[in-house]
Amino acid sequence: MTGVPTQLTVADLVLGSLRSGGGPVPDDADLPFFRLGALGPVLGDYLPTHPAAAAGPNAPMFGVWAPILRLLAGTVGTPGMAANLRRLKDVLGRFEKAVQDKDQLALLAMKDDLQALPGVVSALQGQFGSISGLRTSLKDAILKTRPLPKAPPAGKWVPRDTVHGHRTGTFWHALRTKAAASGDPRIRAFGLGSTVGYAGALCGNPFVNGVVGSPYRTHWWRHRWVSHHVDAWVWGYYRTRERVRAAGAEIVFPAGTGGRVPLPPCGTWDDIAGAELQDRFAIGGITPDLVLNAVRDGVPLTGFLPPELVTLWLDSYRDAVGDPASAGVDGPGLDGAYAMTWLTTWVMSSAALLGATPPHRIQEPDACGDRPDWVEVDGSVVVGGTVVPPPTVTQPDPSVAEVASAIVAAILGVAEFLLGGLAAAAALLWAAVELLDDATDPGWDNLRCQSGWTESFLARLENAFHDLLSTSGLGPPYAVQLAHNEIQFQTWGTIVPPDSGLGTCRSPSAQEGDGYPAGLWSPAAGSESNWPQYPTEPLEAPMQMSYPEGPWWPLHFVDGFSFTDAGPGAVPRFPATQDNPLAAPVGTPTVLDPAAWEQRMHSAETGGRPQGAFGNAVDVAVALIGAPTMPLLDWDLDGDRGIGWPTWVFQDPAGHPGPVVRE
Amino acid sequence: MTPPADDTPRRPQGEGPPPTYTPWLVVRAAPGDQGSRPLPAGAVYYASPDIAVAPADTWGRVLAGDTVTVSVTAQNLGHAAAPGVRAQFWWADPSVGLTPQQATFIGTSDRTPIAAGLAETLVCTTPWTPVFVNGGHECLVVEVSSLSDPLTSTFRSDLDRHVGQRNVTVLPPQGEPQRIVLTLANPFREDARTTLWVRTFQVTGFERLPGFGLPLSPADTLLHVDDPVLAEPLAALGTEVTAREPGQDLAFGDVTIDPDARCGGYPEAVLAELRERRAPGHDFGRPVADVLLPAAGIATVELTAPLGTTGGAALVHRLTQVCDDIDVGGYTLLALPI
Repeated sequence: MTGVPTQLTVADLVLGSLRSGGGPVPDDADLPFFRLGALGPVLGDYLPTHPAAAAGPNAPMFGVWAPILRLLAGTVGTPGMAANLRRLKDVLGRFEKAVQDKDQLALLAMKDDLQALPGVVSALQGQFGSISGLRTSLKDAILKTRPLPKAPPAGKWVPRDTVHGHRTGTFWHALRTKAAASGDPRIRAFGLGSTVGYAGALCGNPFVNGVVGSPYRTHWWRHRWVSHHVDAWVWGYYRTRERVRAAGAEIVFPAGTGGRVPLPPCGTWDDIAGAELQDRFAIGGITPDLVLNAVRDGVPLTGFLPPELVTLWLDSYRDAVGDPASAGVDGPGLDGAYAMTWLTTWVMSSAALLGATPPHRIQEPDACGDRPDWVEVDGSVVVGGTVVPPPTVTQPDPSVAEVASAIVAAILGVAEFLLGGLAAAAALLWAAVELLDDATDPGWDNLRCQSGWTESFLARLENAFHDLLSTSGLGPPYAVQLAHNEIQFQTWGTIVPPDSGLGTCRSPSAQEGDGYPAGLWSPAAGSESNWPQYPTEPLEAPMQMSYPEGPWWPLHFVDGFSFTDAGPGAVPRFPATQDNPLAAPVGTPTVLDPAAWEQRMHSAETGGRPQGAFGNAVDVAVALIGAPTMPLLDWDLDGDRGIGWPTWVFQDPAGHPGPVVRE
Repeated sequence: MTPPADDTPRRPQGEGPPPTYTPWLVVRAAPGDQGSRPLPAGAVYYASPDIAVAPADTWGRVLAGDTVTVSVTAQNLGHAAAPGVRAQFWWADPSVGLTPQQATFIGTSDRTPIAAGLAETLVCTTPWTPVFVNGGHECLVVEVSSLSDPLTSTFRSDLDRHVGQRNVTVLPPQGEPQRIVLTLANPFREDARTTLWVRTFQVTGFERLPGFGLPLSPADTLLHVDDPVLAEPLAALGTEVTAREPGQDLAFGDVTIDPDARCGGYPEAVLAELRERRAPGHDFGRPVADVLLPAAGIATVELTAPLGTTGGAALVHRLTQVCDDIDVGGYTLLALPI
């Protein structure tokens, strides 16, 4: 499933296209509503969210995040991990600046903060200790996010699946039509964005399916894991392309490496971390603390979305779902879904919490020796008389996609060591300024080194947290983590690391043959976290095609344009090719063609392969926006069972998988 | 079902060690090196393909008088980033056995973080002008290290994946026969029976190597021409590798022991590891020199190589110094045809 960064990227491109076409676009003040609309079915992930009713109707994804958020939020009167981390970063940031500026007064003014720092780190260590317990609860929660059988009535489905796979055209068309009729520019912007959201999911999810090896219905968690990688690729590529283009160039994939390596390389691409994506659809005065505290206190997350928008959305949803209604999908449940979408975006994209220093940019201070004072020669750290040994280094098999829980366990061990280092550093920083007065030279060089080493340890800890989220399928990797090792590829033909873009963001459809889709995820005991590995479950009949054949990168489904470098002096220097234009073989775009829909539905009902692409998301969105009165069709936004399928249900609700019928 | 990278090996569940979230820095000794140490007897660990000088010609040769930049490509094959990786560079006279005390420090690279799984080229910030005595043949040693993945055995690329060594001479195709004085050093703290062995390969069709898209430079491909990793691409290229009379065309002089010189050797812990590599009876080719070297003693042996092979084939001469059944070092000579 295409995530927030991908949907926002498509929205930006569509906006650019509308602007260059001279069409009406939302005012800047209304862009957050346009972008919220462009998230499309992504909002369904957390639908409904009712923090006040822990045992009530809540989205399974809320169940996954709730324990993490409670850890971040803490308890009343006791700061949680989020507050402690932010305080630690704030103090260290100010300390670094004071040292950099050789500002002794600023240093003296920080004495109280520095004295409190060891306590903050100690609290973090205590909170971190409880993360280990999350491993089990998260695993259970992940298994609970499994989609329910695709059989009527849709009101019984998980709402996330309903907005992706049930009467989608009916719902999204109602939404955009009602929005367009509204006199409220915010709502109109939201409706316009919703059309983009529909197109983004429709064109993007089949691509993700191909990489996953299966649709969301059968490999839902691998889907999330792959999607986060695709999000990192799409965000990185298009943001970087903008910069590169401004300098007169394009991102190319030179033939010399078989199109495997982009130029400029992934390590120079923009990251989601630090992009502050949550700001792009911040509405109603939402803040991280408001949401975290509401989750902590178990109170409703309401009042962010305008009532008119809530009414519009719920009316359209009820029109599509009918009776029985989805439990919990009401005003507070929708507001909660928005708040959770916003907060989880904040967690993955704000520098405030987990930083934005990718692993290849972690700096150690110059001219400060080989290690900080608090690290012994053997690499261990001594904290309050306790020796924390360095993590044991063992030879990995770098091309093996490990089960995620094994990686998570390894990361937890190292994070514990890094927190130990930060505890020792905090004590040392306090000792360095404790007796300082305005007449004493603080020893700026020494402070610079201590500050530099501390920042380095903090960045490593933030990276460990990032990797925890990414490995767990809860967040995107850094752009540099999409790069692969060409030495290993050329020598062994293997993808190292296995979760680099070559393994997670390039379509394997050309090799798919009759090998799609994999059947229902059946994690063996002890290896429930095998989502980094391509599925090995028996195939689900009938065979389908995930995505058009070719070794495509995600740009294929976003706007379809790729570029080559014709060399210096050539005009144009970077000729473009659009590999995936809007599909309109009979004039009408296929995405809007009822005859195509009917033909494919018939094929699906007779056990065939009703497949076919619609084109790239940007052109599809622009085509849909350009035909505001044409009804949107009921296409399966999950691309289930194959690309371009109409929505469907199993013929025999008890005997799935099996023959399908129209809804 | 066809996964995206069907040839990617996947570890069966429950097999293998659990992963660690640490870096795993590797300077390759050979093309397929993933960092397993110690290396087995006979491994060619003294011709690292990851050490480079620039500018150089297709075969890695530097022009006399040129000031060059030395660099090393280090891979981090671990699951965690390696922050602050720094490389240190040394050069030494042509040596088969080489100890830290025999080498001259060139400089260091900047500290560079390397993300998990990736490779970075670390460039020595101090330019180096090779000394063109002794035919201009010098050895290069590089060590990379990070706080979270430190060096363990200095100068021993057979024992430590953080160390790379390149003891290589690519002979010019024309000119007067080259005279090379090779140093043998006994790294142990007791007398050691020291033998210099030679093995020779002939490579035909090697002229097709440049531009073929192999994962190694043409010179490195020749240096590791019998490496299993290269078997398939070389076969596809039509290159033939055959064993020849060891030391064919080379003339070896007598061994001269310098009674006053000492190589310094290694710490006892490193020597203990070295002794673990003992491999009695291992076939290193043909012995061309033999001497009882005193503890930490140094000897030299002169060899003369005619330039320009005949028949259009390249010759790869692999020299190995063995002390008490332990191969403690090596040197490779590449002879190209006229």
